[in-house]
Amino acid sequence: MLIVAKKPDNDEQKQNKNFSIDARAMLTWGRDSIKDHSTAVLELVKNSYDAGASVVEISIFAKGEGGKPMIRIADNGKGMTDYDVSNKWLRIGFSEKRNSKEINGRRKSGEKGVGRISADRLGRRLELRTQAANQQAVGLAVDWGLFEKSGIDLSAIELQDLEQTTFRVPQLATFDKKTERYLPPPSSKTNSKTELGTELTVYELRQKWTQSDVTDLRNELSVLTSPLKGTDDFQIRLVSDINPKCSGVIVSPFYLSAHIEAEFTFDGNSAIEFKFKDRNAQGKLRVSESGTAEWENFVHRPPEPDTEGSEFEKRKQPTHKTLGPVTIKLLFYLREADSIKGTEFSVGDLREFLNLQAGIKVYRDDIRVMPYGDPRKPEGDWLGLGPRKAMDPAGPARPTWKVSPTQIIGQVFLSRDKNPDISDTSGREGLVHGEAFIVLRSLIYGCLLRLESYYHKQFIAKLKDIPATPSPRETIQAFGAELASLKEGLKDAEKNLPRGASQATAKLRSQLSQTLSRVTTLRRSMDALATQATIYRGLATLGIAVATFGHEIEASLELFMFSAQTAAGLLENKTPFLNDAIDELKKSIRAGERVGAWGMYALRRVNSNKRKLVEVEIGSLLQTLLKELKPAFEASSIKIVSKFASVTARSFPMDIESIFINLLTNAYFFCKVGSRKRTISVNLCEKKIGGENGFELTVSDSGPGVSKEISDQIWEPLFSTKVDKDGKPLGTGLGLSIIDSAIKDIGGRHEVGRDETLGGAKFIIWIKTE
Amino acid sequence: MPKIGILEDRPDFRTSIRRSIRSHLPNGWETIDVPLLKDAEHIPAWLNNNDVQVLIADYKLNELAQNPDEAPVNYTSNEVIKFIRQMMPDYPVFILTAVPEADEQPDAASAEAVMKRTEFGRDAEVYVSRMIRAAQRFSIQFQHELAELASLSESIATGVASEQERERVKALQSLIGLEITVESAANRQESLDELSHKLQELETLKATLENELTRRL
Repeated sequence: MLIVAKKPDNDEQKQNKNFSIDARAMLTWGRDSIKDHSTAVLELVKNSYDAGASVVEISIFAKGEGGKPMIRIADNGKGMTDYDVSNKWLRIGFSEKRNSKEINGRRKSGEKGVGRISADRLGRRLELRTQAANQQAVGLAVDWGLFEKSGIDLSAIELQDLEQTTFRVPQLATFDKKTERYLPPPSSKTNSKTELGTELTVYELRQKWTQSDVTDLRNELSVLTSPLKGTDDFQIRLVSDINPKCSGVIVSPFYLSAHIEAEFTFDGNSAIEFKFKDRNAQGKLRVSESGTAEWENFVHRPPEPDTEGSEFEKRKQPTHKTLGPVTIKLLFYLREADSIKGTEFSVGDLREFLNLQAGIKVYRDDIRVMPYGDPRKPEGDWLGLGPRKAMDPAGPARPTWKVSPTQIIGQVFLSRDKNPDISDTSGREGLVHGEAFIVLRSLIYGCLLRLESYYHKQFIAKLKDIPATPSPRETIQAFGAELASLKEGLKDAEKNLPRGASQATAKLRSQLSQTLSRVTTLRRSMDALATQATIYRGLATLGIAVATFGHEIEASLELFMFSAQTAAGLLENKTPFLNDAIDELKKSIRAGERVGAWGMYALRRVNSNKRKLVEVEIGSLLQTLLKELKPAFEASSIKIVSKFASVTARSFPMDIESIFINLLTNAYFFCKVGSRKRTISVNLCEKKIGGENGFELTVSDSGPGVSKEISDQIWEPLFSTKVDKDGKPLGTGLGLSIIDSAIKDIGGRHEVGRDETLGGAKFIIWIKTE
Repeated sequence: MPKIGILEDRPDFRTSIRRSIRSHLPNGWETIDVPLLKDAEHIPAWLNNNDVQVLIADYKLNELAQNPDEAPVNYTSNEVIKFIRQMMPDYPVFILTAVPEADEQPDAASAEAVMKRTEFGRDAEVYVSRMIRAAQRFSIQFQHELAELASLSESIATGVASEQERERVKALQSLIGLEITVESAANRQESLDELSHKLQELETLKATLENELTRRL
């Protein structure tokens, strides 16, 4: 803006009015924009990127030339002409990047024209050498110290031209695909009219660089460009005598250690293509699922308790109109030893890497937009993954499992040209949190939900292949056995000790004995608790069975009464119908017997022998039980097809019965829903899983089946889908949770699927035989 | 011969009900087992065709399949009553149930009575005579209505019915559930008039089109 000053009266004072700037102000500006010295380096590296460089070499030396600390940033970009230096580089606030968008097909990363002041943050003296095509090289030195005196106008500070303008232009190191390593870089070349580039050297450093500073810088550099897009696009090399371990081409080996790699591509219209890759046994990622989803079914607005706006606004499905094409890559890590198998890194390294690098980062035109996804900054967790996980820390076996913020590295790629609504805030870091930004968040949130559901399913599937976890009872037993053998071992060892030395171990032995006796007590109370749990399960099961088969019990009782009454009526007639009366009485007796059988059934379930751990023939146990229950099924036209193999197991008959009865009552209920011919199929066979002996019990029915979405929830207590035609809940929601708890106690596993023949649910239970 | 129809899916109960009724049945009456037709909608017609004048039905009909290769029916006596009422609004239906306070309830309002099965067993004689009375009432009323309807229909057909008589026919038709078919018959003249009017319009249209075609050619 032009400011027109009032014309002065006095000619002597006649002078044009201009704003002038205090040199110190510029430094303050630069220092306020740049957080720390590694950010300053990052800013200069971005300049190299913007200059179209394919390689930038950063040297950080405690002992550089002349044994003094120095920083050097050299690139092979297009360089600057003398005119460029005077009119662009030296013009604070000027950004060519605002006018011309691309060089080397690259979108420029800085726009505010303050990057170069950040050199002040690094050291007092800066030397710039630059070489543009077919031009004389330019050399310039800046003494930032001169800027610090107050009252000096910015333009009054003279910069010194450098006589010596030769510098070394770094060359691209090639990546050897065989060894998957970078070869040593070719030696750098001296600048010439065809060997272009820029070199910045900083002396008289303001801050002493420590080993961890260099490590931090390496880490920050490693995420500066997209690691998955091929490092040759923009190679960053670090050389340092402070932390030589960090020297070399910046790569993140952990990008190969992800357990799942998911990629989502939003086309800017309404479709989202997705692709999931899994790590196989050889550590290679293979595509295992891919497809296309519609925006409406995919995107979810994340919970944002702290945002303004009405409830309606918050619930509204975000529209994609403000958002252009976006690609999202999510790398999911297990933080386990398996993930780094075959690499030279430890689990500790992986965890350190994840602690530093985890987060969902935004790359605009392949350059990182800070602070999104920076785990060390509060606003880094911009999707609220931490609080979300803390609210529901369920494990991956649970359908509500949520990814932890330290398990995920995400990369969101978008371009400034295709996403003009996503713009920078006026501060150095961050994007304007407008509608487009919120829609972007919703899209990423949808991607996370997909990933979570994918891993949950994978985890459940994998569970089937690994042996069941030992029951608490078994764990304590094993612990006791280990202690006992330790005690024996100690006794043997004592024999070999020199006379007198055994006193030293006496205390140990007595402590061991005490622990052992405590374990025995613990085991007893554990056993008592387990027995109690078994009884409770048995009684609850009996209750459920009585409620389920109540109609049949009551019908038998009714028939018993009604037939007797009919017989009485037939006999009381003037001409008694004798034969009919006898028939009715016989029917009444049969019905009476059935009522009695129900009483016996109940008594047999709580028989004390059923609560003991005994050797039991599972096949005949289940067969007897089925025989007792069969009349109830027949009374409702339910056909039971059964096949029992002979399987012996050491177990609590009451638990086995509870499992079976609950499976049967469940099948009974659902068989009666719908109009298919009512059939239940029961199968018992021996089966070995993960090297452990066991038996598999399958119960299928002709009911409506269990939908996939709730196949995990059905095992939770009080979860029931049993409703009458008005939607009133009918079931107790306890049957399957009793099965779940019994299996956890006695060791085994359960799953549910669809029975292709009967069309309904198929419950598969596997239980260890010992 | 008038009959008491028994609708029950379980043979054990069906036999007992039949025997209980038979030992108290007056002369000239008999019982008949009503089949559980796949479609409950066809039951009222079956009752009519077989001279069943009163129905005793188990509430829950969907426990036992009638054929080992089939599923049990997917209706209860509530649905059966609903279909009967559509055709015969006053037809007497008695419902037998086990536990009147169970979750699923027979529709007491639309049945003649809801009886606990054991109560029926105890007082079969009383209930049978109630059923016979209800059947007779329905039968007499139905016969009267049919006769009246026949004579009025004759008047309408010969074109001598008064407006009052026409109204009475409508009421009778509604009572015995024949409303729709006879209603349209009552308005036969109107319909015929309308039809000839429509035909006239078409004739006019045809003529106009022919004229237009000739002119253009």
